[in-house]
Amino acid sequence: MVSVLNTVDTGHEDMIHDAEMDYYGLRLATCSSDNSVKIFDLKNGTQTLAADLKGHVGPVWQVAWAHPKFGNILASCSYDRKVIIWKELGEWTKIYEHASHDSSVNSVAWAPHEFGLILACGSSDGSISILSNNGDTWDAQKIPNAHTIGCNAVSWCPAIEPGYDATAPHPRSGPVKRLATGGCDNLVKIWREDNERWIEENKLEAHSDWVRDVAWAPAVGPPRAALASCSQDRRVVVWTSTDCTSWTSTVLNVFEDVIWNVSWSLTGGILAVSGGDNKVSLWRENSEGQWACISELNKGQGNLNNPEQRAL
Amino acid sequence: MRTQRFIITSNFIKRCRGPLSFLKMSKRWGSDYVVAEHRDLQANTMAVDTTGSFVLLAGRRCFAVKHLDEGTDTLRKFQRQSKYEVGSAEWNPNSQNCHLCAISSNNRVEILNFVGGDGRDLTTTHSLRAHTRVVSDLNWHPTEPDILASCSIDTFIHIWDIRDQRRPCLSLSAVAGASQVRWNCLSPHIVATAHDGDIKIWDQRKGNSPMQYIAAHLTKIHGLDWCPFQQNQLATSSQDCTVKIFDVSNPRRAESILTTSAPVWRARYTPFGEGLVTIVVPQLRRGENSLLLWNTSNLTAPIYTFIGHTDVVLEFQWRHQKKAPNDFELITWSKDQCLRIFKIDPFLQKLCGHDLDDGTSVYTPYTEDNNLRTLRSMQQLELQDTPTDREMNFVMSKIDGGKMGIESLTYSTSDKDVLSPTQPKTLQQEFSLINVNIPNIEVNAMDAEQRSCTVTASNKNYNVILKVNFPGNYPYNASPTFQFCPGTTIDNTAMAKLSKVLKQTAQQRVRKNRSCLEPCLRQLITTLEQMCVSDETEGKHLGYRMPHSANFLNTTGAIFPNYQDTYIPFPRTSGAKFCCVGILVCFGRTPYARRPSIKPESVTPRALSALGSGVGSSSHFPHVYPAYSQPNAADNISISSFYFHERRGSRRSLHPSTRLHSKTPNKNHPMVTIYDASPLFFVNKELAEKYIINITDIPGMCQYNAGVAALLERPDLVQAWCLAALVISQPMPSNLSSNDIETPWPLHPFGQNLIHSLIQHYASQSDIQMAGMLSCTFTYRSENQDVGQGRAVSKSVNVSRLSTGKWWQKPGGSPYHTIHPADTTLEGWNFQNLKQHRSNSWSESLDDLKFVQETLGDPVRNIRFLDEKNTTLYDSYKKAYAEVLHSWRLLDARAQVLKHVSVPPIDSHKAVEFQIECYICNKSSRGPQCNNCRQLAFQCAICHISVRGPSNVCVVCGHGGHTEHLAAWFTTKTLCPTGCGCYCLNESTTLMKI
Repeated sequence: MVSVLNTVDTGHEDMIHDAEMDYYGLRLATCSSDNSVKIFDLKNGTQTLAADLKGHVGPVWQVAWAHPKFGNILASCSYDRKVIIWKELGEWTKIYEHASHDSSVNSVAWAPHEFGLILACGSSDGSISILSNNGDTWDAQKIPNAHTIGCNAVSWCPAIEPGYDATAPHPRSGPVKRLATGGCDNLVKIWREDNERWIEENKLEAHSDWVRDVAWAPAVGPPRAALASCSQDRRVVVWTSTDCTSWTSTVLNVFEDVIWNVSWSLTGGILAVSGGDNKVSLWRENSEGQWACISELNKGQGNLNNPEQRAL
Repeated sequence: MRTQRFIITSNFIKRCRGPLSFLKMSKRWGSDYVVAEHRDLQANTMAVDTTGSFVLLAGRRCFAVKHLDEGTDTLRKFQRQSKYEVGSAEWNPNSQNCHLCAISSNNRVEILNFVGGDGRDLTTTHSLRAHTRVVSDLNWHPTEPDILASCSIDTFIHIWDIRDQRRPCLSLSAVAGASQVRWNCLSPHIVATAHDGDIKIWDQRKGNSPMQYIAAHLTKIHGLDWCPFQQNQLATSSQDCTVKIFDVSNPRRAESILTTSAPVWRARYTPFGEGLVTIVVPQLRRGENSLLLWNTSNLTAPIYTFIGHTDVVLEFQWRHQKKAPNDFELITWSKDQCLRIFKIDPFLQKLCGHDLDDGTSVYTPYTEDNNLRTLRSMQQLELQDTPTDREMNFVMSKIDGGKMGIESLTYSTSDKDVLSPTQPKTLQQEFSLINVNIPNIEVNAMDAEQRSCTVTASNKNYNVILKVNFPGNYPYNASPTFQFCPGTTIDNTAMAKLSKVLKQTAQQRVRKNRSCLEPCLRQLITTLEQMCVSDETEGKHLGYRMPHSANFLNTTGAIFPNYQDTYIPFPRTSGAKFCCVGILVCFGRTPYARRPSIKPESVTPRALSALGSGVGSSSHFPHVYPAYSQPNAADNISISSFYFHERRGSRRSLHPSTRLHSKTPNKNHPMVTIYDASPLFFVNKELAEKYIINITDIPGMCQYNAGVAALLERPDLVQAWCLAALVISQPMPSNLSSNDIETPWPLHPFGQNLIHSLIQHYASQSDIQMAGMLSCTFTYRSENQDVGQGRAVSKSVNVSRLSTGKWWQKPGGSPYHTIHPADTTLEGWNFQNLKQHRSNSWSESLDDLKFVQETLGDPVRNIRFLDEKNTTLYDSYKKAYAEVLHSWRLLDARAQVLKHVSVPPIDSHKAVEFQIECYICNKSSRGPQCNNCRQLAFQCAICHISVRGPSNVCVVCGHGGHTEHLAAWFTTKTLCPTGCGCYCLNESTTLMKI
């Protein structure tokens, strides 16, 4: 059922830590311990290196594409405590460098495009910074001490219509900005913007070790908010809420190794999970609300089971 | 007083047991001390005045003042009539009031005035009462002569100005009783108090609450002391057998912790260097009566022990006579009623890291010759002395360490495993710790005995051979000398510049007594590269690493402690991300980078620091050179090294070529695999391409779409579309029933309910395509039915009327269009936005009319297929589907779907918006109807009739009219029909191309 579209030789000189395709699925951005970020144009199974972005002086942990209505914009974060925003203006250039964190920046995520060009960054210094673009300038807002010891992941809540979201203070004020973060305090926290200030709305406790990734499910499907988190404790937890105030947790699975990544499909419904054991599995919730691994089911057909990634 | 005895021993090593025979030994190693026994005083506290001349001994029955510089007979006793002991005593530290001594007695603080000279009288001049319980501690302000702080278990800390003794000038209220109070030595407003195991730091300007609260110990804190040199450093001694040193500006954790074998009564900083003296809690009487001297930079073991006490030490203070700057004495008062004066040898001060001013005289003993001599004398001592003196062992062991190599004799500790957090102590140590892996630098020789080092810095532009000579007292404010050796190819001016830069770098470091070789070498290579880049334009490849890191260090400035890696998560080396629609991007380690030892119990580490432990000793360097830790640390973080266990050995080697080798070979570049996971999803691009949304014939549209689904082998969808077609084709009203009793069709179970559950079904299984399409279908149907007439109107009216005047000359100023500046920057997007917004405003206007119509229309007929309370839900499906179409680049389909969104999509960005200026009343409005006069506001430029049907306008001049008329006009002409002079066709096309 799943077929390989493209295999990209990134040419990075060291391990890569993140890879993401742009909105249209035509370009791939990768980042690596060799301090560089690369962008590839992919077409019909071929690859061309479009840019090799050098600007970080430490391993680059994550990249994120902005919505294309703002232009071709990419954000990257690194061990060197910096966040760099790159834009294709003929050539790829650095348009902004954010260097106010005191430790490694581990995660970057663009806000839903409805809110404008806004980037959230989570750092090992425990703080989260929110950069909003105002034409030529960038405003930085900081949530200090969001997670004691460090913040490992950030994810935005999709722009939900107020009617659908019971807690919206003013029904006609438009969607509320929400952010989920995970950190070394084993917590997942939900933040809500309230009068230009970020307040901690919820603190979700279920993990027994560092939370490595959080992912907010896209707002399609059942009228509820859903959130996936994964942790060093080898668990993936799916959180659901109908009102964004009370959350119920379901342990999706306990894996063999630590889990680093959770990613929802853009139309919702399927969750990709990957971790320290170099394996990827896909999970889907059935009509009874049970999570089942669908890539395991497909093992027989074996297409997804890339021998390199799945072999033990 | 009658039984006074006075004993002088010349060597402390020999333990004093009462009156002892004199023992003459090497004075160099002996720290002389003087004992004066004063029986019957029963003094329980002692205070040394600031001039260092007088000692006050205070007990319940009497005070005694002793003049230290005079003989034994100078003790003067003053009877005291009190039933309370003297708790604490302290002389005023300011020369102006140095004759005043404060003592605490029960709940009072008394100020004694010692009138010197012949009078030799001690009178109580003040009595300060405010505390309601016993005063536990008092402390004079270090700089204000009249200010005194006292604390008590009554929870109050009173600050007194002794010129007004009626009441305290400030009272700090703590919730818990205070046991200690100490003014900060350097910051005049800051005072620290101890409350059981906690510390409060107060700013007397903001006295209502403490500015800092430190949960320092779990058990009682007996003593507090501020560092006399570092404003924020505070040492706390506690019952839990530890002394913690806090940086009060960042007190989350203690900076360092000293652990002893017994509860610590006091820990006081030495007035020189970085020393700390501790004593055990007197009440314990454990038999451990010695004072321990520690160097705060290495708290693993005391560096010295002051011995000789036969009973516990009650109080100790420093005596420093100003006339001899390096002359310090430690005065102790012991329970055995002996006053002991320890002379602090320069050697001890040196051990505490004290930088002596008269360097030469002090340093001479430490040249190798002298060390040898010292050592010999110690060996003699060892021979002469009986080994039963266990107290000697400590000093001895140190000398033993020194025997291993005379030049590496370390005065602090010979324990090599314990890495000092500050810096190497000897040249040998520095040489062994230096990170020689600096680009273009090769170390030719390092000779700790000759105290020199030769390095070569070379590439094709230059070759510099530099000899660095280290003076004997380096790095204690003595910088090395730099000498260019034959073979150096740079010219004299460059040499001069280099030596100047190197000297500055070295100076900066040694001024703080820090070693400087590595910073100098790094500076050397940076400067060389800068010079070559400016000299020769082709030096492009030179600037590759150092300028980068140097710049990085400059911008961030602060020290980057490597220990933070403990809190940085271990890097991901594999992952999967869903991108676009149905694309799964995966990356992982190549088979060859798989961890060889995959055992079930070996879980991937959580923090980045796990890498440091795996790559040999290099991770320790950051501690040695904090400022340079960043580039090092970045070098060390090679995640692949974690997975290449077999290569770790080679990484330990400092040779650069081996490091390069350990990088992954070309063949094994990390790969990213992109999967097409779209078969996993119900959403289908082909369907999206073929589906239609037909506003005029909805049952037909449903049938068509059913056909599309059948073509693509989706029988499930065929059924759904057929059902939708059935529902939408409203049955003809039967002749039998009148309009009155017939249930409106939408309320029939096959109406609203069926449609809702159908849409919900697709939504819940994430088939956003079907949910979105159905939502569109039925939204339209309901509107079509209800507001047929209104729609006819709205359809015909689109854009504005013409204008007079030459608006086209300044497009931005025209009232008919606004082009957001952002649009011009988003190539390829402006047209998109334009299109989208046209559609939006169109449907908006449609809505406006609909509402008008609804208020007038038949209420029964207003019932829709989609329950209005769910409008936002259905809209969200439409928008989600539009987003999917967008990422497939099916822009027309997307626009079609967005047309049916009842609430305009929330878009914070601004874009083109059309406004109509009414040709009748000149008011502008957004809809087709003028808000003011309610007329159709747009007049055709050609026929001058209000436009009801399709229309076109020029976006430059704003003139337009019926599509038909304009089409006819522009087949032959290019100029605007109004005669405004605008070449509408050309202008519009160029505008769209921006």
